[in-house]
Parts: sequence; structure tokens; C-alpha cells
Amino acid sequence: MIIQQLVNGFSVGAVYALIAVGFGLVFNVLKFSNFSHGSTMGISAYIAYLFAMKFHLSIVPTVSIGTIAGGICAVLVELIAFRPLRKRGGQIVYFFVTSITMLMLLENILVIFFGDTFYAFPKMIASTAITVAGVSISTLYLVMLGCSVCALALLSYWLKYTKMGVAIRAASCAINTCNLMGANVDAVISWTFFVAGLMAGLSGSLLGISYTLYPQIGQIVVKGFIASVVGGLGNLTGAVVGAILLGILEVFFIATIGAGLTPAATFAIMVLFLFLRPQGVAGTIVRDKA
Amino acid sequence: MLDIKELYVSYGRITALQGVSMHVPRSSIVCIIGNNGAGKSTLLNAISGMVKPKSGEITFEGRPLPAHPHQIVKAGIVQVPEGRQVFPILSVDENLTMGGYVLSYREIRERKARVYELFPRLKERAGQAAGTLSGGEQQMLAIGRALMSSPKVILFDEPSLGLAPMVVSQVFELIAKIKESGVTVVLVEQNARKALSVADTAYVLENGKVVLEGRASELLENPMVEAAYLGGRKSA
Ligand SMILES: Nc1ncnc2c1ncn2[C@@H]1O[C@H](COP(=O)(O)OP(=O)(O)OP(=O)(O)O)[C@@H](O)[C@H]1O
Ligand SMILES: [Mg+2]
Repeated sequence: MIIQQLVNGFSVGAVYALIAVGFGLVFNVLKFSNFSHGSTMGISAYIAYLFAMKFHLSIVPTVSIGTIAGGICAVLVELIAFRPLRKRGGQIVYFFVTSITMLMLLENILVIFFGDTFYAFPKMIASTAITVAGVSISTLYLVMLGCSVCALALLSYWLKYTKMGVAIRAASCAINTCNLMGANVDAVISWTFFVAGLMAGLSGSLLGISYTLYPQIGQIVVKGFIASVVGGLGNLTGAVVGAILLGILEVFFIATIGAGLTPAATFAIMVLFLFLRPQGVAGTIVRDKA
Repeated sequence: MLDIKELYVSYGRITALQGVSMHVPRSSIVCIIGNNGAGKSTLLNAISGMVKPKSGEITFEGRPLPAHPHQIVKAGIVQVPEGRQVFPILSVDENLTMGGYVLSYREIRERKARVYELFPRLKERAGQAAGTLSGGEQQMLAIGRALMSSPKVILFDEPSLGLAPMVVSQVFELIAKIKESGVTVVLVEQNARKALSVADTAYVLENGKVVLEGRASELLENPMVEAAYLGGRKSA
């Protein structure tokens, strides 16, 4: 029973990790907390939903469409909202405020088009379970886990072995020096948003398919934010660890004290964690960067 | 090969360069000396496209320079910035990848092999985070990174800053070697005696203006330069 909860928590945490990593990528390069990441999740989940309904898609194409929609959406948000600010040399706080404004704006656009109601994706994942070594794991959680782990592995490969991936990591050290090496900063930033958006799109559609779809689904970005702070802001591995911790905590609390009290309890634990270890899970690495 | 005419650069109200003109001949070392705040880094950053001049023009091989830093690197002008600026969390190898950003993957592999040949120490430390290298090794990495794209011109901004005397000598030997290989060098230095002894021509910058220019060997003998920039360092 405990092991089963652990696996479930791990799976939910892996989806949060997608959010946290996307959030962290943009933070690393542009040094601001991009809450509009949440609206990217929401919009791509709705786009995935529309396609799934219209064309009776199965899970793989649905999630793929959601993922790509997320990438495109994030690039557009950067182009429309953040790039003009950057060209004028705006301060970090303006980026932050703009990102929250974009979250609200896009959320309300979803309300206008879809109403403030819940939608359910057509049933895509059989509600069966697989039993491994006496532990039964539902297919739903396995799909969440599988998609997230694959996406994170691909991302980490891409960041390590492609020129653009290395440039994004270089830009998170010093964007001007990255420019001085011959990388086009606008392109590096667009790619950062694109890749972060892919992660947002994937997590948004997975969450929509697993639970329900509602305009405020993007507010789950807060969990990604908390996870990346717990992980040590600026460190992607830390963000993944933080997100998985968060997922496991949540599942355990839901099983023990109930869904109603869970948010309060998890946030309390996270605050306590930051109180004890303000530098986050990966504190030392982040300090090296400062 | 690189010509600068009447360049004015300002940061808001501060005017950092006031009508600087300069000629950088092919395959030579041009050295720029001047006190803190004279505008040396500003001049290099204007060439690199990192700051936009208010007026004046820079031509490279007879054509105006492209507008953006990445295009300027592609055209063949790279900078080894002040304070080295290696990417601390990237490995040595990844720092070199960044130096070769404008190249194809295959070219990057080939150039890396050349750079590692030149700096065996970097090869030993290829997988190590650049932030954990010593100051001297970081400077070697910064230079190796600049060499990655096979540039025509390298701009050095105070490469000897904060290095032990022996390493400083190595750096200057390396700069001389780079010139011998046909690369044009613009060298900004506080260490005026050493810089003037490797350079062909030199410019003295004060408050954003060129106050003196000539053959480096002549400037080395010039009493004004002696007093202002070489004073008390004769033994160095
Ligand atoms: N980003 C900036 N914003 C505002 N003023 C600047 C900026 N960069 C340089 N300046 C100013 O421009 C002038 C020239 O600076 P610059 O860095 O070019 O001097 P430098 O000759 O390289 O000095 P140092 O030897 O200390 O490196 C200085 O007065 C400096 O304060
Ligand atoms: Mg300087």
C-alpha cells in the first residue's frame, strides 16, 4: 500500500517536474519567475482537447499536439509580451508583473471561449492496473510517469549535446558573453521558451487528461514554482527532485488527511523545508553560479 | 583590415568615447593602453557590436561591420573579454563548443582537436567545470574558446589581469604566437611595458580620446608614456 502510494506520488511529481523544469529554464536565462508558463499549460491542454474531440484522437496524438501547442504558445508569449520589454531594457520586476498579467489574461480568454466550467477529455486511458511484484499501479499513473521521464531524459540530452542546448546553459551563466561567442540572443531566448513551452504543453495535457480541464488549470504552475524553489532556483536537477518530493507528499496527505487539507499541509512542509534549507536541495551548485 | 573613424559612444549621459579613430593593419598587434575608465573596454565592445556607437563608423576589410554581435563573430572578429568570462558551470569542453558556436558540429570537433593540441592542460580537464579552473587555466580556456572559430581578428581585453607573473609571460608569448599564425590582434592592457614590447603599433587612450599613437617601440621610449604608464615598473 505504501509502495503503491509512493509510485503514484512519484508519477504526479514527475508531471510537476515538467512544469518546474520549464519554469526553471526561463528563470535561468532571463532571471524572472515566469508565471505565464501556467497559461501555456492551460491553452495547450484546451487545444489538445479540441483536437481530441474533433478527430477522436487516442492518447499519443493528443498529448503530442498539446506538447507542440505549448511550445508555439510560449514562443508567441515571449514575442508579444517579453521581447518588447527586453528590447527596452526593462527591469526584472516588469517581466515578473507582465508574466502574471499574461497568466490572468490568457486564463480569462479561455473563460470567454469555453466558459468557467469543467471539461472531461474523452476516455483515453483504460482504468486498469498493472501488478508488479505485488504492487498494483494504475495505467494512468504509468502513462504520466512514462511521458514525463521520457521528456525529461530527452530534454537533458538536448541541453547537454546540442549547440543550442549548450548555448541556453551558457546564457544562464552570462547572456552577454553567450552573445559575444556568436550566439544570437533572440534565437537562444526563443528556443528557451519553445522548450519550456513543450514541457508546459505536455504537463498541461497530461493533467487535463488525468483529471479534468478547467480554465484555471494553469494555476498548477505554482506547484512547479514551489518545486523549483525547493530544488534551489536555477538548478534543473534540483527542480526535478523538489517536484517529486512535492508529488509524493501530496499523495500521502491525500491518503491520510484527505484532499481538503492537503494543499495547506504540503505548503506548510515546503515552507518548513525552505526555513531549514533556504538554499534549496541543490544549494551549493546555485551558489557557484552567483 | 579594421578601420575605426570618429567613433562616439555614450552610456546615457556619460560619454565614453569621443571621436576615436584607429587603424588596425592585417597580421599585426595593435595595443591600446590607458587608465581605468579611459574607454578601452567600450572600444572593444563597440567593435564587437555589444554597444551601439552614437556616431562614427567601423569598417572591416573595407565593408561596414554587421549590426549584431553574432554576425560580427561570424565575420571573423572575436573578443576575449575582460575578466575571462568563461561559463563557470559548463565544462571546459562545452566552453569550447560555445567558442565554435558559429561553426558546424564537424568543424567544432576539428577545431577542438587543434585547441586541445595547443593547450594540453585543457584537454586533461575537458570534463571539468570551468569555474573550478585556476585563473591561469581560465585565461587559457578563454583564449582557446576565442580560437575555436578560426577568427581573423582577436580582441583581448586585459588578458594579464589578476595572473601571476609567470602566467602573464605565457599569455604574452601566446599572443605573439597567435599573431605569427596570421591572426590580427587588438590588445588592451594595463601592463603597458609588456604589451608595448609585443605590439607593432599602439594607441594611448585618455578620457575617451586618443592622445598618442605610433610605433609601439617608439611609445616605449616616449617620456610621457614612461611617466604615465611605465613609471616605477621599469624592472617588471
Ligand atoms: N554599462 C555602462 N553603463 C554606464 N557607464 C559605463 C558602462 N560601461 C562603462 N561605462 C563608463 O564608460 C567609461 C569607460 O569605461 P570602460 O569600461 O570602457 O573603461 P576601461 O578603459 O575599460 O577601464 P578599465 O581599465 O577599468 O577596464 C567609464 O567612465 C565607465 O564608467
Ligand atoms: Mg576595461
